[in-house]
Amino acid sequence: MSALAFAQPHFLWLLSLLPLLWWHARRSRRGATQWTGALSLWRRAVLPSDSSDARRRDSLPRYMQAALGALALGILALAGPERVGAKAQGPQWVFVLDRSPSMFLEVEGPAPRVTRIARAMQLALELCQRENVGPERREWLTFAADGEHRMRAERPPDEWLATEWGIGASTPWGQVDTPRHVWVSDCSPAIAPVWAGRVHSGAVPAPGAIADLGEMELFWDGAQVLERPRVGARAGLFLGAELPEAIATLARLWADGRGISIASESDRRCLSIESVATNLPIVEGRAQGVGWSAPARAACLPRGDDGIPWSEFVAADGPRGPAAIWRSGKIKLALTSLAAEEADPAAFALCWSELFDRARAPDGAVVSYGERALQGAPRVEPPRAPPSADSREATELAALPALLAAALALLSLHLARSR
Amino acid sequence: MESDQAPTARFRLHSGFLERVAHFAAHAAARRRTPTEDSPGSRAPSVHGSGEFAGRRRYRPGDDLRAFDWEALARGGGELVRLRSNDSSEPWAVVLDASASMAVGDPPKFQLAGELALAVCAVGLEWGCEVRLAAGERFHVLRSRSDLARAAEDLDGFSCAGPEGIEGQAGIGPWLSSPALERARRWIAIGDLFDVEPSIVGRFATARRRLDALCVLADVELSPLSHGQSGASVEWRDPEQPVGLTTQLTGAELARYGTALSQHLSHWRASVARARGVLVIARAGDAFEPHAERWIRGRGR
Repeated sequence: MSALAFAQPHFLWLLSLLPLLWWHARRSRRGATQWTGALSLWRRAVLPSDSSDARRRDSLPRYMQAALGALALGILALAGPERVGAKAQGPQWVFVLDRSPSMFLEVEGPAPRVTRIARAMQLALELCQRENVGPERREWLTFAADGEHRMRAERPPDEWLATEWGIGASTPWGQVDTPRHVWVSDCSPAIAPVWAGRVHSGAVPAPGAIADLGEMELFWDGAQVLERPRVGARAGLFLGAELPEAIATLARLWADGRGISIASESDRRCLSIESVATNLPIVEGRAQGVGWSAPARAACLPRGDDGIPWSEFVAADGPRGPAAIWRSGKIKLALTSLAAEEADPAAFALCWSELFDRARAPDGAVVSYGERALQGAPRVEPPRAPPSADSREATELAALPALLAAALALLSLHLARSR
Repeated sequence: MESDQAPTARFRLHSGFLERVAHFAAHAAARRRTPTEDSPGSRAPSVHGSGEFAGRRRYRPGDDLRAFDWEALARGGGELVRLRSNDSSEPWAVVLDASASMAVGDPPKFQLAGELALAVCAVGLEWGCEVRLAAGERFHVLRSRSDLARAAEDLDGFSCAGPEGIEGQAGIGPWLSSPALERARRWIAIGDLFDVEPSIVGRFATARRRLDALCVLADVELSPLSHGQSGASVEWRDPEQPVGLTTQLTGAELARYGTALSQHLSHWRASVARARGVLVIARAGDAFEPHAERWIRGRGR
C-alpha cells in the first residue's frame, strides 16, 4: 500500500492563502454595503422560500469556486505528489553474484577466516538493510557453465556460496550494468558500472596455483611465479551407479583424454555423472541426439528438475523427455540402458563428449594470477535510481492535479463569461 | 462603500422649525374654515368645546349622511357636511417609529419622521385635540403649544439607533397595545412601517378607532439603483437584523424588489383603509409640509 508524499512540500504553504483569497473574494463579491430597512422585502423578493437558493446566494459564485479549486489543485501539482509506498517497495533489486574461482579465496579477517564470496554476501545484506530492500524485493543472479541462475529469496542458497555447487562461469558484467542491479564481487571489473551498484568484498593477495600444466603447475608465491610439480589431487570425474555402460565407458575415455582422474565419493569433483532412475518407473523407447539414435530404456524425468535438457528420449507410447539434464559440474542421466551399438559411433561420441565438456566445472584450486594478486578495500555503492522511470512516475502523479487545475480554470473562465 | 457600522441618527430640531410647524398648523386650521370649504355666511366655528358646530366642508363620498347639511343644499350652498367640535377634539395618538432602521438614509428617515410627528401634533392641537406623542421610550401628553415646544425640545438629539432600536422595542408595534394610548380615537403611525405587519394594524382598528400611516422611506429603499451601478453587487444590511443579504442590481432583481415594495405598500394602504385612515408615503429628505398637507387632505375621507 502506498502513501502520498510531496517532492516540494514547501509549496503546500501556499494552500494557506486559499482561505484568505476565499475571504477576500467573498468580501469583494459583497460589493458595497448598503443599509436599508427593507431587508425583509429583499429577502422576499430574491429568496422565494428556498433555503438552498439562500445558501447558494451566500456562497461564492460558481466561477469563483472553480477558480479557487483550480488554484488549490495547481498548488498540489506544484508540490509534486508521489507515492511513497511505491517508491519504498519499488521494483526488484537484482544482486549479481560473482562465483568465479577467486570468490572462494579467503580474505584476511578475524578468525574464522572467511571467503571473499561470504564477505561480499555479508556486505550485500547490510546494503539491503540500509536501503530498506526487503526480502520480497531481492533477486539473486549468478552465471554458471549451464547458464544463468535466478532466485528470489532473502539470501541465496548456501550451496551458491560453496564450491560443492560448482565454480561459476565468468559474469557478463556489461549485460547486467542496468538500474537496480548490484554487482557482488571481490573487486571491480575493468570497467566500472554506470547504473549498477556494487558490493566488493575487498581482497588481499592470495598466493597459489595459477595454471594447470598437467603433471606440473604454475605457482605464484606472492612475489614470483614458479613452475613446480602439481601439489594435491586435481578435481576428478565421478561416475554414479546404474549408468548405461556405453556412456560410462565414453566418460572414462573423455576423462582420460582430458587428464582428469576418476574420483571416488570423497574426492573433489569437476564433474559428476549420475542416474536419476533409481526411484522412477522405467519405460522402453528410443534415445536420439544430433546424428545418432538408439533403442534405450529410461525414466521420465520429473518436470521442473533443475538443469538443461540434453538429447531426447522418445517413449514407445509417445511421451518425450530429455535423455539427460545438466548444470555446471553435474549431469543427471534419464537413460538406464542404451543399445549404443545401433547408433553411429562417431556422432554418439561427439554428442556426449560435448556435454561432458560443457558440464565440467573449473578446478577451484587453480585461480588466475590476476585474481590471486588482487588487492582492494571493501566497497559498497547502491545502484543508481533510474531517473527517467522515477521522474516519469512522479510526473504522472503530478499531472493529474495539474490537468484538473487546468480544466477547472477553463470552467471558471467559461462560467465567468456566461454570467 | 458605506461603513460596516450600523447607521445612527439623531433628530435635530432646526432653528425656526417650530415656527414652520406653527405656521403650517395655523394654515391648516384656517383652511378648514375657508369659504371654499364652509358655506358662505355660516358662523365662525367654535374651535373648542364639545359638540359645538365647528364649520362645514364639501361632502365627500363615504361621509356620514347624518352630517349632511340639507339646509345649505336648499339654499344653493352646494353639497356640504356639518363639522362638530367633538369630531376634531378626539384624543389622538401619534406614534413615532424610533427603531434602528429609521437611521437609514441620507438624511436619515428619522429626521423627516420626527418633523412629521411634530407637525401632526401641532395640527391636532390646532384642531383642539389632546395629542399623546410616543417615540421609543419617550411619551408626552400635549394639550397646548407649550407642551408641543417641550416635547420638541425633548426630541432634539433623540437617537433612534440605540440598543433599544436594535432589539425592536422602539418601533410602532409595542405601542399598539399600550394602555397609555388606549383612549385614543385616532392613531397616526409615523415610520418606515417595515417592523409592523399591515394585518396587525387591520385587526387593531375598531369602529371607534381610526388609523393613519405616514410611511417615510429612504431613497435607497424607494429606488435601490440610485445608490449603485446596474449589475453591481450590493450587500444589503438592516440595522435590526444580524445577517445581511448580497444581491446584484440586475434588472430582474430590481423588478422583483419593486414588486415586493408595491405589494407591501398596497397591503398597508388596504389596512389603513379598513381602519378608515389614510396612507401617505414620504421620501426622506423632503420637507414635511407637502406630506403633512397630503395627510390632512386625505384624512377627511
